Amino acid sequence: MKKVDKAILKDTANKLLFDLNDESYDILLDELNFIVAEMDKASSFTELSNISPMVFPYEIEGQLKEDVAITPLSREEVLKNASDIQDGQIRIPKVIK
Amino acid sequence: MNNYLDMTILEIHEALLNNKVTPLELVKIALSRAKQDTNNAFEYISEKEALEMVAHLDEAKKNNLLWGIPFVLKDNFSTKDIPTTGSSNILNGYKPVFNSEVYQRLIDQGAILIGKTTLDELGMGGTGSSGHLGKTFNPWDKKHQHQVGGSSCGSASATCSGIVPLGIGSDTGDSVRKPASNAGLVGFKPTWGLISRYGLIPFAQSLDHVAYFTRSVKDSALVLDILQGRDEKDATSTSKTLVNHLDNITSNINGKRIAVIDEILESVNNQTIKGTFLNTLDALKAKGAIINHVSLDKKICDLIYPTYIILSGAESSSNNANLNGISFGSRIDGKTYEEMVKNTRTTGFSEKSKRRMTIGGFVLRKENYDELYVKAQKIRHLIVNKVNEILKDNDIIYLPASSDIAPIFDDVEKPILSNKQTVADNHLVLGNFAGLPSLTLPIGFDKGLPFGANFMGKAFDEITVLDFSLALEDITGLKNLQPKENK
Amino acid sequence: MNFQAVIGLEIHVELKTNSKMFSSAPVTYGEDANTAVSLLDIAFPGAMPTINKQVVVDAIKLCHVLNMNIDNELWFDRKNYFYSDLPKGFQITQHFRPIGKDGYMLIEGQKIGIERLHIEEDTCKQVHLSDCSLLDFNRSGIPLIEIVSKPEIHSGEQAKLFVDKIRSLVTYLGISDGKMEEGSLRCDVNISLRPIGSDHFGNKVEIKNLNSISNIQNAIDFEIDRQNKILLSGLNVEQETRRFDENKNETVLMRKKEGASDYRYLVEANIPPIHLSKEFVETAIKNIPELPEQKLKRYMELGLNEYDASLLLNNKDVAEYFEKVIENNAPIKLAANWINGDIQAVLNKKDISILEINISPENLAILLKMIEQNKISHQQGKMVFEKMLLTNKNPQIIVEELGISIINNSDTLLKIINEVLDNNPQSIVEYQKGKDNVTRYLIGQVMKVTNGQADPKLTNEILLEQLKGK
Repeated sequence: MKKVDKAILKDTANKLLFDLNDESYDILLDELNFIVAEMDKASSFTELSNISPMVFPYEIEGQLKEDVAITPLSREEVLKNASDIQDGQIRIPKVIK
Repeated sequence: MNNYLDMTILEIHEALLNNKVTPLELVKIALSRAKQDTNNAFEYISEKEALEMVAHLDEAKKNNLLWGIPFVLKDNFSTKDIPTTGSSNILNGYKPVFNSEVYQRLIDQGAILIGKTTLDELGMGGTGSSGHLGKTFNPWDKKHQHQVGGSSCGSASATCSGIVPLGIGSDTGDSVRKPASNAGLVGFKPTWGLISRYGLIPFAQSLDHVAYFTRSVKDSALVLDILQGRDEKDATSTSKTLVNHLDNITSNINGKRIAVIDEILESVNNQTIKGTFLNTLDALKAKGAIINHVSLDKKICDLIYPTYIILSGAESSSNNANLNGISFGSRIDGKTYEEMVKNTRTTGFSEKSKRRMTIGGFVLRKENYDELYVKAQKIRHLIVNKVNEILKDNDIIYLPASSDIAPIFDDVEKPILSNKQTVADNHLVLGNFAGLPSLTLPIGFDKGLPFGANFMGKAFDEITVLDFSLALEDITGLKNLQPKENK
Repeated sequence: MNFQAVIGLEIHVELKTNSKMFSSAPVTYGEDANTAVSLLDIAFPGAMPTINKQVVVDAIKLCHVLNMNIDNELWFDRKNYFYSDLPKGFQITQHFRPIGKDGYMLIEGQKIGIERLHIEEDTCKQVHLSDCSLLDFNRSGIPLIEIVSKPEIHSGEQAKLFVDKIRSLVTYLGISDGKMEEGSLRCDVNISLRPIGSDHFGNKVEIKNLNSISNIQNAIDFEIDRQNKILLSGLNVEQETRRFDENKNETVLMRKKEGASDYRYLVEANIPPIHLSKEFVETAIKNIPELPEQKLKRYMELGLNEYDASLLLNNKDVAEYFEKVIENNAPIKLAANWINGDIQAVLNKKDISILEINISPENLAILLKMIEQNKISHQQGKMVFEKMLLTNKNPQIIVEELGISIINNSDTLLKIINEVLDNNPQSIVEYQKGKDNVTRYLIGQVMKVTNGQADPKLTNEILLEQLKGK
């Protein structure tokens, strides 16, 4: 069975660009250990070997949209909710690649 | 005059048509009740906007069933120029520049928004306590000990306490149908794709549904007629030909086949619920329905909830990646882009939401991908096949909506999954896995608190679900329930 | 030890559709910041994607000309990662099922395999200032096609030809501007060296930020040399990302690679799969315009040599200009010569595209016909051409205004020629000694006397007649 530890959970959280408090990591560890154990039980289901992973709740087909541009948001609307604006653009700390 | 809001939508509509009450009077009562609300149902009371809207109501639209009807909207539906927070600090201050499709359709009918309601943060939860405003209470419990349940806690609470006859919510696991059971309401989640999700802040897009609370089955039917149908802006919305449900609903279920999944029924803890449920089953039989007891492997039943947590967590970790404080929402500064986003997200989300997203991030890691994520997708498929097989031989699946009455708030943070949960606590998610129409309505009371049962039908067969529900409503007589103090 | 370079290319082509890939905002270039943005492009919560039909049609066309297998269903996925130019926190792309698979292109007779072709979306533009960065979402969501070659390229020159052919194809298909300088065509290079005969690959180096087709070759040539030296000195090539410094003509380290990235791919459940019917695919393919290879064949059948024809085809706009000129009945060879010569010289000098030149194909055709029909001489033609550049007037009117005419009366010409011969007895002597090229000098003299108005063909005839009679 898969081993879960706090370091990997912290790494996972940090890759999602947030951190949790210590207590949360403890709870998270319990939660994931439970999940891993439950999913491990499913390994006995032979039916799983010939079933596809499900994405959509039922079979569904999409449609293509004609290539017609519509009036975009006004610049005011684009920027209205941003907390830091400069020269009609949204300002963020300098990005260093 | 005060009690018009205690009526069903159809009754209020009648009163409006006969000029016994005006939209302005209704809105004023709704606003005053909203302001006196003690259950923490509201993120925002849209008083100014509601009075403005009612002043501009088009008399020519008076025949619309929702014309002049006050309603509330879960705060994860986008409303132009009206704050939309998803009950998360990370969206504090955000005012969308557009309307969600659902909101637009409702106001086009002349319905009046009274306020935006609380939810478990971003829809992630079932306790009605993880939003940034804290717990939302169950109006049936004046002591504020029992949950109304979530994540659509505010809409459930406001509809239950008679502030409005219609509360819009969303349902990813059971976020409308579970609170409906706790609050004695009709909670309906139609088929995935029947109602546009455009403008709904997503939690898990393959499981998210628009759903809503009313206080009668017919009200539920008429609201569906307004919300259903293709929206070009949501690529998953259906192009199917639509049925008018209010015109076609009947309580005739003679010869129709009901499936009861025994493993789920057996896991119901509360004997009053179980007994009441079995009584309704007899009554439905007396109305001509055929009852079939069917089985769903216990091992599969146990996997429903872990599968749900994996899939919804994975999708939520992606959906919420746009919440970074840059273009909207509440930004916490940092020296670099990364530090700023991390500060914003660490403080902006609750610990509980971060845990769910971390579970999602974990199962999507390369080394876990097949063993956890893909496996969960396969289990979902397996479960959906089983459910659809049951529905091949039956018109509907009928079960208690929950294993017990509304639970008591837990004040310590606990894991969201544990061995203590029973399948009857979580089985409504089957409707999300398969995208099926699913409706909860009240069937009884225990210790002064209501509880409900749930019908789940075939995809796009809303009418059968509504027919059964109407038949059951006739049987129980439990319609338009509200805690006494409002009456 | 001898090494062979193993090179794979990742090419991004920005499409020039009316609207964006997954939203309805217009596709623009150089507009004011944040004026071509829709809800999805800035990732407002609750915005949802739709699928641009034209992009699918364009992708099918490109798949077809690259000999790829075209999927019969369209699926999209989310590539999840955090970066400041990615507002949603994920890019919608086709990870699991690219629309095109397993194609190839012939480069100088050699098959170079193409792994995959898929549809995705562009990121937003960042302007980096000294103390901050600024975000402009106009580019966010513009359709991109990514083409991934197999690692079957072995030299800088081959890579250059590969990218140039893609550039040429996408411009002739009319789906992209294909300009590396403007970013509508981008290319990343993966390169490693292995001992010849070995199937063991060395560490891979990625080269980014290449902004011209010639730099692709320069960067690869430098990189092969660099890696070669490292390996010969017994060291290992580090796995890393480098960029090309144009001024120093060398690649420089950007960052070391730390393990493989993990993009937490998810199928995009907001986009149901779309069935691509046989009919839909065939219609797209049927509408593929004539491509450079076919055009080359046709031009050669019209009488051009391969060199002239290829020169015209280097640039799609030039080829289209040429075709309009000959549609107006201009003599084909003359048209090619003028476009490849005089016109091209003007374009180079003014640094403009042929679309900006002040001479319409119709007017050039009239001019060339006048020259061919001896209504004006070649030299006069050049004079008229200069005037046309300033005014785009009909050359016939210019000829009238300038009072240009041609002397094609034999008697008049005979008189002038004899005067010239009388003034140049030495030339006659030289001609009689067998120096043929003296005739060119004599014709020049005639032209001088007539201000270039003498009919060159007739002058030549009469002159030879007179010389022989001497």
